[in-house]
Amino acid sequence: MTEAAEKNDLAFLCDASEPVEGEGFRVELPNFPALAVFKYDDKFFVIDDKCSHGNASLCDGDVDGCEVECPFHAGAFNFMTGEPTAAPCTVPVRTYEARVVEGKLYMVI
Amino acid sequence: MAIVKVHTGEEFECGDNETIARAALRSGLGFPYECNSGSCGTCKFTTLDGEFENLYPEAPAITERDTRKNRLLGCQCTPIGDVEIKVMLSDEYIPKYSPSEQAANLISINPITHDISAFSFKVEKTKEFIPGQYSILTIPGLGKRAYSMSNLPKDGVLEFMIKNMKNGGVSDYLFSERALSHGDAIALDGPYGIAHYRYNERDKICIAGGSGLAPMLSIAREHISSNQESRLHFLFGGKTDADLLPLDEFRNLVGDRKGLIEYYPVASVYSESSYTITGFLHDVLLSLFKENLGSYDIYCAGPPVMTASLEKSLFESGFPQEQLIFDRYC
Ligand SMILES: Cc1cc2nc3c(=O)[nH]c(=O)nc-3n(C[C@H](O)[C@H](O)[C@H](O)COP(=O)(O)OP(=O)(O)OC[C@H]3O[C@@H](n4cnc5c(N)ncnc54)[C@H](O)[C@@H]3O)c2cc1C
Ligand code: FES
Ligand code: FES
Repeated sequence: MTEAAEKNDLAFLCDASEPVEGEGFRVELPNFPALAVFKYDDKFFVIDDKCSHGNASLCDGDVDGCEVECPFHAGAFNFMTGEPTAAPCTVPVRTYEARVVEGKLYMVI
Repeated sequence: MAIVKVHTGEEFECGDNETIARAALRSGLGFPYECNSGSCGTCKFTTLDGEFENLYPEAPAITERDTRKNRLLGCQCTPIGDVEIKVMLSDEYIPKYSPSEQAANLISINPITHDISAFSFKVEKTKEFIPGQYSILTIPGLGKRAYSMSNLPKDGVLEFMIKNMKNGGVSDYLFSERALSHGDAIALDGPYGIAHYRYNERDKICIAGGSGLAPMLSIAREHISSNQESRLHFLFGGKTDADLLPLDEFRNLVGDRKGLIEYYPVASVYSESSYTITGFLHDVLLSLFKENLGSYDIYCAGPPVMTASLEKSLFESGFPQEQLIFDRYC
């Protein structure tokens, strides 16, 4: 995380207490595709919520360690890197940098 | 005959030696699938009750987690007795023309490039299909492989353009002298595939790499023969000139007498022709159409490395996912 990011480079996502480990937390922001927030090992990770294989919401999928499985065809992504980890997913999903400031979760834009 | 129950209430019959995905599609259900070959993973389902025979346990699409979570591939499994499964059916997979298996007799083999030949088969009853779709051919003693039709549905003839993969079990055999000769029969099951021609007003780009020539030709042939007003651009990629088609041969094959299709041969390694563009298909695509790529429907077919690079480049450029039309793993 870059310390240099100013507050106006951050977009507010949710309260840091809202995402829980083992589940995706969906956030919708104006001018952004829907986002999925994951908490893992006390860190937060933000990726696009839409699967790169089809029109599924990854927040509806099962979490397995640092991976989320797609509810449609059981493809999977590592939510720390966005990389696909199981067929039929072949294209990474976009990742965003998460930042906690005073109990609130932001992403760097 | 076994009964397969889906967790959402649907039921269908599955014959002996028939796969769950194909039986579901034959009964008109939208069972998710793409390749029918064990490679893409789109047909994964979860077993809830009953016994299954896995016809291809080493299939590349299944992971250790899938096995742990009782998932199998619908295109590579048959039920042993009645079973219950969990799968996400979806209308986009419902076949327009119900797939069926029938005997097909070889009528000709004609070379197209140094390692691609057109194999034509005659079937008793004309098989309807949408250009871009494929059939599953059973090669006696060797197994089943998917091949896309390269012609249009007419007169009970189905044409396939098969690339000799040299080390490949089936394709290598098909090119050998001991393989099929005139009149020989094989079983042909189809049509399958969701990466087919979409009749809309958008301009189109077809991208064929090597073995992906057949479905793209069928789409281009349909575009010409149905007098579409939209434009079609056709990129054909190979390593060198020997893998590519000169413009006149391309137009002849497509039946494009008026030169309506814009044709771009693309060599990834080396070309002596000033007409050929050198580079990788995904780079050439982005440089040729960078201005307004999002206004096109893009169809593509070819080896997995090619379709994966294209998919990745297009995804990164923000290209709308629903306008990229392809079946994984040709
Ligand atoms: C939808 C689709 C359309 C295709 N269209 C064309 C086409 O128009 N022209 C063309 O030349 N090729 C096409 N192919 C590729 C073709 O199906 C074969 O993969 C190719 O000819 C190489 O086969 P091979 O037996 O020579 O090679 P191999 O390397 O022996 O086998 C290739 C593929 O066969 C499957 N396979 C291997 N072993 C088994 C097994 N035990 N059980 C079940 N499946 C197995 C796997 O998917 C493997 O990747 C298409 C593939 C797909 C999925
Ligand atoms: S839509 Fe996500 S795996 Fe198919
Ligand atoms: S793995 Fe079954 S349809 Fe592709």
